[in-house]
Formats: sequence, C-alpha cells, structure tokens
Amino acid sequence: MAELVYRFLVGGAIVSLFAAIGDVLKPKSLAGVFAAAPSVAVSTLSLTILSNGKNYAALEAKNMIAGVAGFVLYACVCEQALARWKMHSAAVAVLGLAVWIAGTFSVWFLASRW
Amino acid sequence: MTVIAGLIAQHYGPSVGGAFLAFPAIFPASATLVEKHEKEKKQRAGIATSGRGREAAALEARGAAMGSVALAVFASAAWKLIPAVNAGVALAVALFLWWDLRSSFGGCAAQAIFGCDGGDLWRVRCRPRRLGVRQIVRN
Repeated sequence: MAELVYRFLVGGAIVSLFAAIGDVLKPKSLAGVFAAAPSVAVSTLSLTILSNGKNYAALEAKNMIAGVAGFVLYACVCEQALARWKMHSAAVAVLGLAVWIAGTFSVWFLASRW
Repeated sequence: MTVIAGLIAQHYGPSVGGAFLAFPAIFPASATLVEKHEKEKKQRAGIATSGRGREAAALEARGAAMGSVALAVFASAAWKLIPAVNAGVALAVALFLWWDLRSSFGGCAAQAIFGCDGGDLWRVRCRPRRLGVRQIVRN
C-alpha cells in the first residue's frame, strides 16, 4: 500500500511537471512533443529499479517499445481525425486510445512470437 | 498512470506492464485543454472560432507523433543501459537522448508521415492552408 501511495505521489509529480512544461511552450507542435514525454516511464522505471531490480526494469523498458509503436499510431490517427475529419478533440483523444491498445498489443504480440 | 502501470506489471508481468510505460497519459488532457483555450482566446478577441481550437489540437497531435519517435530512443536506451551502468545515469542518459533527438528524429518522422520538413514544423509553417497554423500564430 505504501508503495502504491509512493508511486501515486512521485508519478503524479513527474507527469504534472512534464504537462506544465508542455503547457507553457509555444509553438504548439513543440508543446505536443511534451505530450509524448517519457513522464510515466521515468517515474515507473525509477520506482521499479528500487523495488524489483535493474533487470526487471530493463525488461519493462524493452516492452515499452511496443507501447511507443502504439503511441506513434495513436498520435497520427488523432492528427488526421482532428485536421482532416474535423472531430472533437476530447472524443478523438479518448476513442483513439482503442487505436493505442490495438497498435501496442499487435506489435507486442508479433515481437513475442518473433 | 504510474500506479496503474505498476499494478499491471504486478499482475501480468513486466512484458505487459512495460507496454503501458508509453501510455498516452498527458495527450488527452492537453489536447482538450489546447482546444478549449484556443476557442476562448479567439472568442475574447472577437474572432470566429470555427475550427481554430481543433486545428491547434491537431498541431499538438502532430508534435506528439514527433515526440513519440524520440520516445522509442528513450525506451531503447533505457533497455540497454539500465542493466549495464548505474540506474540513475542510465535514466539520465536516456532522458538526455530523448530531449536531444526529439526535434531531429521527430523532424524526419514528420517528413515521412506528414510530408513536411522537420525544420518547417519547428517554425510552425507546414501545411498552413490545411491547418491554418499561420493564423494561429499570428493571432
């Protein structure tokens, strides 16, 4: 329980820090780069290293690459949906998470079979 | 999200939990806020808001696509460096590589994905007609 609270506090602080940097930056394409900042990764990996060791954290980092592939797909779909199909940003960002899940686990499945 | 990633890793192991390290935690909130702020800004200035907020959010998404390419560099560096060197140094180097390469790698990715030059993207000038970014910057 203490570890979860610690994760919540440290993770929340780091994610908020990256979000705040992204919020003050202009142009918006540069701010958008911070929307893909490794905020969750930095906080989670540092806590995992402390609790489960370096090899466990390295395995998480390796599998993060599948998540990144899903993120690339997610961001591209969001960009197209907003710019081309004129959809509402909240709907795009939330519905797009299905694209992230599909992309991530497709790559993860293929990589695990390879 | 850090808590959820930790819980998923505990239940399903590091291979599934690791994938959630690249979960888009910030983007949904920031894109929604960017659209809202842009609309409010234009309304205060008495400018017609049709699509302005959405265009700013689209630009944010494009930046996120660029940043996610550098995120792959961060993940690869962390994967290789964490077992080899001091964990703090490994994360610092991975973070530095992400910071340093987010523009150049992202620019190449922008060229491949969106058909515009990376440098142009940083000057917010690519596809001005479609996105209306010149107007966004000017106003």
